[in-house]
Amino acid sequence: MDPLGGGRAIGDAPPTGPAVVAESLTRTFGPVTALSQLTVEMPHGVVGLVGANGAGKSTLIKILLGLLPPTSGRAQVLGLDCATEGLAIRQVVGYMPESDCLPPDVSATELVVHLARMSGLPSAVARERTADTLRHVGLYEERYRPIGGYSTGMKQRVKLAQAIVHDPRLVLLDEPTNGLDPAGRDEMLGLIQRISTDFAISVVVTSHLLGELERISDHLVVIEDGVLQRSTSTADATQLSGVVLVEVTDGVAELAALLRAAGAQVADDGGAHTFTVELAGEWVLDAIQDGAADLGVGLVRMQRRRHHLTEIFRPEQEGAHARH
Amino acid sequence: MPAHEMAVEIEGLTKSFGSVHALRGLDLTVPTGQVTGFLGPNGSGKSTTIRILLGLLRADGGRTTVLGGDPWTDAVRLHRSIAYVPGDVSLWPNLTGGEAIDILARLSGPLDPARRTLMLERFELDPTKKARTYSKGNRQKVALVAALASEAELLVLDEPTSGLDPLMEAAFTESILEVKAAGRSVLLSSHIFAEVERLADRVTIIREGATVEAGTIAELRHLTRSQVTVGLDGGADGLSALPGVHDLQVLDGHVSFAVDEVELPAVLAAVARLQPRSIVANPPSLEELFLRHYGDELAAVNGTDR
Amino acid sequence: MTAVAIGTGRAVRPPVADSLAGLGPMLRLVLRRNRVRLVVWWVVLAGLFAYVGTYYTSLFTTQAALNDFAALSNTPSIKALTGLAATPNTLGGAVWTKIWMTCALSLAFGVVFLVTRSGRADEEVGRTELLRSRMLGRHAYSVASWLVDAALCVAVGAGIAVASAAVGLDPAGTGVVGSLVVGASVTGVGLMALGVGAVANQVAGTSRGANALGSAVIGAFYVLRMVGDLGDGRLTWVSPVGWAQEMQPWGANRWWPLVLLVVLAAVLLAAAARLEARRDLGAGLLPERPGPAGAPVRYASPLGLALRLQRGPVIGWSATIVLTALLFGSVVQSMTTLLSDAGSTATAIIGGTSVNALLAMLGMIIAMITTVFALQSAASLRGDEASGILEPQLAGAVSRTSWALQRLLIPVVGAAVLLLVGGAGIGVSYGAAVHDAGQAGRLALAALAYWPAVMVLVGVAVALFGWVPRLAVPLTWGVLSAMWFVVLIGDALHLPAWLLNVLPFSATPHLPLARLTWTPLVVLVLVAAGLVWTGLDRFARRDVQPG
Repeated sequence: MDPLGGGRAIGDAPPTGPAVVAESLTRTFGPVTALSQLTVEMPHGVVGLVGANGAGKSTLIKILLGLLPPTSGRAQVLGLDCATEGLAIRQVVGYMPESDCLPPDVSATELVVHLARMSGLPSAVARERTADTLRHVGLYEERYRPIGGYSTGMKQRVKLAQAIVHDPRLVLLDEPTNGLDPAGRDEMLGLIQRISTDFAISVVVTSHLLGELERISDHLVVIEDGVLQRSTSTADATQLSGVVLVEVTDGVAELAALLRAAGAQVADDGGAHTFTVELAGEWVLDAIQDGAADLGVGLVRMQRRRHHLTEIFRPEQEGAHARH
Repeated sequence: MPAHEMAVEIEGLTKSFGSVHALRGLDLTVPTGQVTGFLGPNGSGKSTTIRILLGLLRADGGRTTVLGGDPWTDAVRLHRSIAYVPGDVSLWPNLTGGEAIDILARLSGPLDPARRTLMLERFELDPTKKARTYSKGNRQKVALVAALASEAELLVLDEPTSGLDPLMEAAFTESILEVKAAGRSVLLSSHIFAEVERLADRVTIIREGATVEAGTIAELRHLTRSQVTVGLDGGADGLSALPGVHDLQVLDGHVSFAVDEVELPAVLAAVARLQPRSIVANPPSLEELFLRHYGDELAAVNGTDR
Repeated sequence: MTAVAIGTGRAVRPPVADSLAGLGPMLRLVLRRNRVRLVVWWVVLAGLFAYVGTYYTSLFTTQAALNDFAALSNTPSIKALTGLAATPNTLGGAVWTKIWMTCALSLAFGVVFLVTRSGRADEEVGRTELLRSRMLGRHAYSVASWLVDAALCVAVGAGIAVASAAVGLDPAGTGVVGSLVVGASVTGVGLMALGVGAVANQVAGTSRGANALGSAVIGAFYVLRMVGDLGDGRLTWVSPVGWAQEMQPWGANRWWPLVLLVVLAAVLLAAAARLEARRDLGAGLLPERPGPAGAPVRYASPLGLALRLQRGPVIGWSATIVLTALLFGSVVQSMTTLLSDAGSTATAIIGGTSVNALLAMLGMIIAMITTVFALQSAASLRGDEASGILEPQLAGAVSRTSWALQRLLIPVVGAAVLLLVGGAGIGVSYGAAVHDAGQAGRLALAALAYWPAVMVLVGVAVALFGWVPRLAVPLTWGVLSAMWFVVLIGDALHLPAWLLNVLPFSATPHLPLARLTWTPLVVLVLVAAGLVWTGLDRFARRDVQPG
């Protein structure tokens, strides 16, 4: 199963320790600080790297690949030092860049075979793995045509295929869903999830679409302006909050007043027919139902709400942006 | 007040590139002062339509009126009143973002300096950086700021937020609502349904170069069923027999089913009598509308996939 | 929060051997992606030499014919344009005079473009990053591309040597030394250009910049040797192209200048490798600095914007023209001294008015440089359309015709200004030597006579832009190259005389040697106007076609 033979710096034992460690990582470009004192550990599994445009995600990935030296601080990937062991890292790590970087004049098969061989796979193995991988990402007859004629979705699949063709232990995916329509995005997310579950390859994936990361990530790292904002498991980040979202067909103000009178904490949610109630106890749920029945209004929704990732993105601004 | 009731009126638009029929009789209207969503999968003809509206492509057939004029022959006059944000924004690599904003905005008309400053702040864009160093999202911000800082009567936005992060999407929503409040018209192409759902008064859905659905969001919602999930300690007795209830399933104390829109109030009343722990009734999202239209296509794709 | 450096940071560097890891696969990739280009360059250059060699062998069957040809070739124009062989009255010398400079320079420019294609161009679109994310050392891609390009240089040189020996250019009893030297001299120029291209690719931050810088250096070497060849020959040694000339195949048959060329190439490549080790992937040498936060109102007009965007090229071409012209002017005097020393025979050959013949030829070279500027500027119409930046401009309140005409003002007016400045430059510098202030104005107007010819080529570019936008840019440069080719070796191609005579540059009266005749100039202007009109008319009716 291991075509790389002795080339691997690390055995195939189940992963222990973190996949990625960064310590006080700083990187400046002239006057611009892209990363500032970033200290973070990323576990195995699917890690979502969240940040606005220009937050430093791509810089971090390039440092992790050993392509960009940090200005100060250090980073390790799978126990290998990024500043000195770049080649060893790139042997066991796959990378899907964000840019539209595929050469238009070669076919997907040709390109992926070539890149597989550059990762040390013997020719025959590279061909076989390429065929498997391209089939896995859903490219069939098209794979012998020049990439220049591919759609955005097909190009993204080729980029994903080349990142996993050499059976890496970790893949770094930079904005894999960029430019895809909803169906394409769903399929790409499904593929990424299967990379983690079916092939036991750890994944670090960046995106600015938070909903996606919420769906597929086990762990989330949020950076902004090169500074770590948060590093947490997705379950913790989106745990049930003590809030119930209520939507009614009519009579919002009346029902809210009724609940306030019963001692519940009611807050405006911004919607015309919705509000939220602090879940102080089971009695709150009863009060909502009874109140709706008494007023004769239709109860459309009564839902315990999870924190959405957009809320952890910049928690201190939530209050300021609430509409009243 | 603009004189035209419709900012854009398209009827039976056709356009071919060689043997490829990009548009096959497409209809689209953008009422003045409203936000019109323009939905379709990649390659369905949204960008082709928009480029015809701007006089960049010449229509093969059909009738197209923009702000009361013909987009091909009256291009220069019309462009004084139109701001355009392309789907994939190219900029001059060695000019700064700020320079590009001024150029793009002034190409069509006057620029409101106060709004320019406001938009730069709102979209958190550094105008002193060279466009070469911008990501796709930042290039998009440049075109957006230029369009929003202009005084254009009609904004034509081709997938304007595809590279933006969510905070910027909030800024975008706010800005479009301001534009609408000022009585200006917006054509917003997108495949992010939530965005269109939030902003648009009307929606046109196209597929393979032809319009398959058009109307207000509410009108389109009537076309499909709400999905209801109820948490019940007792049984779901009798629910499946109610008129309008379909595909009822019981799983671990949760009952889920689909309801025809017209029967929803009666069904919800019946559910309330069963003392539910929770009720979630989701109105159909545009995503579902969309899947309904393209479902067979997706099924075909998935069929070969799995 | 202050940034305090902790940890090891840059202190530990990866081992040196790692920097070439993956060289083998990269060689295969470079060969795969350039296989067509490499074969075409080889076939064209070796084939050209073989063709001219064969033709001349059949043409010059007697020594008398060769002597006549040598005498006819001994003009300032030939010396300036192509250089004169050390032994022009031998078969090899005749072929060398005709075709060596074309082969050597074509290879030099070709190598610069090939280096950029696998260098800056790939780095610009992130392709290098994709490759570097595999087990690929820092220098492996560059070194692979350098090796392939060096192999092309050697193969072209070998092809030329074999062709030369096979055709029989070597005089009896000399073996094939001359053939080997001529092949090696072309290889030497190619290798030198490889070094120049490699450094240019590290210094410039964009592929355009890298090509411009590399080409400019090769062009400067060409001009330096031209000035040297026209003068006493000392300046020839300043230029690496001159070193290769001084290998003198079928003359002195020197090998040691090849050593100079190879050493220069090695030094440049080593410098490029050093630069590559020091900079970040994707970055140029200079960090990006913040620019203005806003634009003046004048940028909102197509002309104002074009002036801003083409500021760099306009300044660069102006400086090139001025320096070239001053250099040219400075050697005219010494050249005429040489000519008068040579006696009446030589002056008779070039029409007796030797100074005017030389001045006319120098004016034509200024016009050729101006043409490259004008076509580059005119090709930006299609450049804007292809990159997608045209669409937002046309979405503004400007008609297509107005946009294009404003943009064309730069090549149209710019070419006139460059011609005037270039002619005046020659005049100022020559006038200073002969104490005649009137030369500046006279030669400025003489150079301006080429303006209609330059405009015809601009018209061709505009017509191509209107009718075949996707092919416009390569075809534009193809037309220019074909024209130069025909001017240089048209006789060897058996082309009819009338065709040679209607080419814009041939049709223009060569002032101050010839008399000013208005008819050809008026015809050329009309042709240019017609070409621009048809191109713009078509552009106004067709779809905008990005990409």
